[in-house]
Amino acid sequence: MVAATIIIRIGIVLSAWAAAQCAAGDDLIAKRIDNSCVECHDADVHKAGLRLDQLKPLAQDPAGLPMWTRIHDRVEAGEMPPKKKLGAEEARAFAEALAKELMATDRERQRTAGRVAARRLNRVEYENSLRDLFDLPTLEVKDILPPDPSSGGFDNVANVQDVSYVHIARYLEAADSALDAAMALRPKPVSKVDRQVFIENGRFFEEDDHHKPKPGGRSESRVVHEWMALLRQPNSAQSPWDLHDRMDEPGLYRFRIRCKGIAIDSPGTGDANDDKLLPPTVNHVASVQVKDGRFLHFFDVPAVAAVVEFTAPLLGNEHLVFYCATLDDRGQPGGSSPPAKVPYKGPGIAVEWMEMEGPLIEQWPPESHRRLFGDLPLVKWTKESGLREPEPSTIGTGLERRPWHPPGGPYMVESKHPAEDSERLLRAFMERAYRRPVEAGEVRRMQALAMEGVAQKRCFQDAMRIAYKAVLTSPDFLFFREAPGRLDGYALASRLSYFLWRSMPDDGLLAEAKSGALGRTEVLRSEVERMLNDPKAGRLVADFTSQWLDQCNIFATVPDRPLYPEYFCDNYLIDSMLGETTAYFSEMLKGDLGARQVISSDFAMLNERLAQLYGIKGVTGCAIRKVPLPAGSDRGGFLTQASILKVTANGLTTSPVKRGAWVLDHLLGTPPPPPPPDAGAIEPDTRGATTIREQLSKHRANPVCATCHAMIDPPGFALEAFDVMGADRQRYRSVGKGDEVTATVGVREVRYHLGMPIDCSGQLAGAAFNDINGLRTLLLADEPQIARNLARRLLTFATGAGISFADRSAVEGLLEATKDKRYGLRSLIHAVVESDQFRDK
Amino acid sequence: MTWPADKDTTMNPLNRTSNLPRRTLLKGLGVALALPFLDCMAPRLGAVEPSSALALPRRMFCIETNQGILPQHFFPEQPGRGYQPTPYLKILGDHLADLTVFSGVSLPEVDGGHHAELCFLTGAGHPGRGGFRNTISLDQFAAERIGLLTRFSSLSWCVDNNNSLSFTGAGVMIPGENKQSRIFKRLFIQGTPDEVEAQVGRLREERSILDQVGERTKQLNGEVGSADRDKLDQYFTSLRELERRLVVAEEWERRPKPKIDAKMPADINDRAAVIERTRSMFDLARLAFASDSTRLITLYINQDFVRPNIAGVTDGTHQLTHHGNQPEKLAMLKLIEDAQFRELAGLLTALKAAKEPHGSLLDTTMVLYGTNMGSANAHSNDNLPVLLAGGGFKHGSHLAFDRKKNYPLTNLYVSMLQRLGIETSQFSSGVATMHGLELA
Repeated sequence: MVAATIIIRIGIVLSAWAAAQCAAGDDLIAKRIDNSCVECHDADVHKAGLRLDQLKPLAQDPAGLPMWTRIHDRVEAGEMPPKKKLGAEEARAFAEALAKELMATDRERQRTAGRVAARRLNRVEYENSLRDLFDLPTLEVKDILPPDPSSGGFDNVANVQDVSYVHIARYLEAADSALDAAMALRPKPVSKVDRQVFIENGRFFEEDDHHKPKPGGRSESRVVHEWMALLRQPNSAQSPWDLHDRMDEPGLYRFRIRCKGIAIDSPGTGDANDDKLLPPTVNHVASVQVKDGRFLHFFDVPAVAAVVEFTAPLLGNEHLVFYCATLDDRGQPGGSSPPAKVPYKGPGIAVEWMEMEGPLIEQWPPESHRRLFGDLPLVKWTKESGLREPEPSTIGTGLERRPWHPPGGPYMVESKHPAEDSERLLRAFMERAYRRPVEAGEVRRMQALAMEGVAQKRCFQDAMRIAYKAVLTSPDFLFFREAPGRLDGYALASRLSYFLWRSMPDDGLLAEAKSGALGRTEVLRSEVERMLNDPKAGRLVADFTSQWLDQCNIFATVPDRPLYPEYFCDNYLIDSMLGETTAYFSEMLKGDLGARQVISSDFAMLNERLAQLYGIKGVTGCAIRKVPLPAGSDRGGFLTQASILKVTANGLTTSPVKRGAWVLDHLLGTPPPPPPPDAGAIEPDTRGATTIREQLSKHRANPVCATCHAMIDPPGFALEAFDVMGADRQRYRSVGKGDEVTATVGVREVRYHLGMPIDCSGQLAGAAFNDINGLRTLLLADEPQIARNLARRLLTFATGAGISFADRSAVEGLLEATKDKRYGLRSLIHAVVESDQFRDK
Repeated sequence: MTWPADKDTTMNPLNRTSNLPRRTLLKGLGVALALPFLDCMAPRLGAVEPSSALALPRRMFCIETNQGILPQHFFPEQPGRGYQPTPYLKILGDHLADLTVFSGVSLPEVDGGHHAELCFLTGAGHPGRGGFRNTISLDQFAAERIGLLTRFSSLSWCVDNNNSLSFTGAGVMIPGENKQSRIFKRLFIQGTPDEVEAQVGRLREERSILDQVGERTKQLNGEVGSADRDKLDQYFTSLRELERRLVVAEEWERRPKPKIDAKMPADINDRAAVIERTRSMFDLARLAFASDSTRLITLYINQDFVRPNIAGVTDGTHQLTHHGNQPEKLAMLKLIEDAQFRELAGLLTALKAAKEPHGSLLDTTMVLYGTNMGSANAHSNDNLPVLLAGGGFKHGSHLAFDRKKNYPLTNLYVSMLQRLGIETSQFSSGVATMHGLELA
């Protein structure tokens, strides 16, 4: 009864603020609320940026929903108003009344307008779509487009997707770039084989005056018994490992490398005949790398000479280097490279030759050409055709494209019946691009552009290009077409495929959309299964983990050289870290592993390098595989994966505040409020005089700080057991105070200081823990919260809309539906797809 | 920007009149050119009175380095004139009378450590938080008002990656141009008549694409609900905005580009060459201003883990900024920043040497140089090291504000906009001109 009265009163008060006509003059309760909130949140004093005088009632302005939701949450949690200005009972009633209004308003918004307003392809989705549309799996266009903003943790959220003329200009440019690659107006590229014998024609050695290799002449590599023995990893502009020849044609290439792992025992006479090649003492790993860029393929170097073979795509004219992942870096200061005339014993990788073959082409013209021009013949252009000379083709990728005249050209696509051909080709293209059937009028509109070109005597491909560019700039391609209420089959198919494949639907899915079968839950279920089992689901795994777990920031910092010499330029380790986290997510998906596995697991996805980092024995080779964790291990879950520990550190120091806040936000879904403006920042100091924990001690002393930091710091304290790259540690490293330590990394000696000991203990919500596993036990006490976080993020990512007030009960529904499966990831994905939130706009 | 209701007059640039002089000869630093104008421009200029367009051309060059500047080597101790120059200011020694150094300034509510680099010229609050939407940048605000006076309304460049400091009214980043050869080509390389025709043909083709897509967007707009309509409206506006820009581009395409005595610079592809790349961009900026190809340039200088090839520096800039007070790292960081300030000194010298009818190019060019972090080691965003050189202000002093309670840097931006001849009393969080900074 009391509550009912309060609701009515609050109703008055809420509208009162907004309309600035406080009718509460004679009302006691309203006055008390007035006294409770307005004092700190009006035009003069607007704490936390809240101005109640500007906030309109929900009924008048649904755009105020996020702010009203925040007010509700703070009051409900008892955080506002402070100092008990409102009795507990009244606060609860206030929150309940507000909740009702929030729910009603948000439901109405979802029913009439939909949760998601005109979502647009982000640049990853755009690139994937063009790749699938043209069947060009290595097409690169996303860097042409402006970066996408992020909301709710993801870069595909519709309500922050603003568009500007810059987008349109860049869409036109990206379309041109993709069309150039797809048209392939040229004769079939000639596939060639290029074999480099390392001791003959690689730049792998110092040459003598007669441009002959000088045996044993260079310290990083030497010729020993017909083998090129590489002793260092490349890392400088003078790198001797550059591969001489470049393959200018983009495409898929086959690499074959004859190599073996070695140990070299050199007496230092300078005569290669005296050097002994011994069997390797460790398993070596190598790769071919695009200089300063991506790794094509890591492989284990055989202990006995053998040929390693793999295929990888090249973008054309790329500078390749042979990368010795398990060898030390030659760029290390202090002259650690073993001079040739000094006795040297150490590991190496011996290479005899390397062969590149490609581009490997199965059909010509390629499928992409057929999708644009069907079976129309490609002929050489002549003046006699009466047509204007074709626009030059281009070569290169993205913004690096440049005009190019293919040998024997220019070529043109010949159409004897341009009206019919353009109509037919455009219809097929538009249906793919728009992910739905198209109407005759739509085709006619685009065809008119092509026919205008034909009328101006443009050759067929140049005329068609105008129309194709228009299709790729049309909102029908760039936006999701979703009407309020239940999504139709095509809209649902698009939503589903952009969720699970990050790209457009395939023919199978479109067929289910057409027949209407996709609306049936069991069909939806089997489609989800089919799609998750398709290799394209790898895009979901990569993109979701990259954003959820901040993997995209892994290269933002590098380990400090003086403090962490052992990690210098260990890009193989970083590559392995990323691999571990995506493999772990895939494993969760495969085995329907649940929320619990976010925090804890009895296995890890490791290769040899990661196992070394974690101190786990018995893992050999670069392939990542499932490894059982020993009892009592401090690893398990995402929580202690090296990639996580790296992105939450800065390369120099770790901060319990940063790591703690990260765990609360990303793994538990309870982000702490942002720091107050006057919070200040701690200047990291590595001189070893104090620990970060001591620097943070004022948080405990100052009650204003303590409220938040009592939540934030503890998970970070437990994670202090791991250094900036994720290895275990008992003491901080320092460049000043502490004990000097000498260690061997590769064949060099390194020094650093061990400073203060680590203290990993803390208190979480009143319960004490001593170490990371103690923390794990406490975190796992609230498994539904971990699942809730995962469910919220999946739903946001799947639909392109954040979790609003009315979605909260839907999220609880997802938990309810998957409780029996211990909130398994695969089950959660099914539940998301089957929810009204996913199936309605 | 609002659109006139009458489409025809919008699309036909040739039936307007203008108050700009038809041929103004500019000479300076080997640059001689005819300043063309577009008839379609003047009526759009809005805030700028024709008389002010006739006055001195006012320019603005905004430069941000993204990894902080060591404050101990930047901020002088004494306020006002006659301060004791700090090491970095000593490098600018010859130009101290032509610049004002600020302390105790920052961008209100712009926090988030590295994220703040997106907001150096926008002043939009809390860039690190989810759902952040940027706002228009200083240069684009100006470009909307004076941009049509020149071939390029503004230019957004960067050293190293593809980002920039420039954001449109919708908060969308204008990708930064990082290739010197492409910049030079766009500015100065005159195509053959055939090439010009082909380019005009392409621009027209793209306009007909935009027209067609615009029609389609309008049609769709009638079929969707109100929430979607807002988005499609924005798309439609963007199509029209680009269409308008293509009209302008076509007009300019038909006018010869300025002839200059400079050779096309070679692209510097080495990521370690941050200093050489900066120098090359500074050179291009001087040429672009001197030829009046544009009056607004932004330059974003990205530094990350790559080791700059500067003698004595053995580590990447970003890891050096996480110095943890190690003396070796601080020394290397100073080497890098010394080199950067030497380049800035070179730019100011070159601008000053470039003679204009009423003085030097520096007199008409505001050069804003600064960074988004007061201390990169702590990732703090207050007490930003910033200075302003040239452009027609009374310089030579150190404007010292409260280091505890910072003064809004956005007020400086209001001053700069007014100096460009734009009548505005606010920009972003700035609501007044900068206290203590007077026009020359």
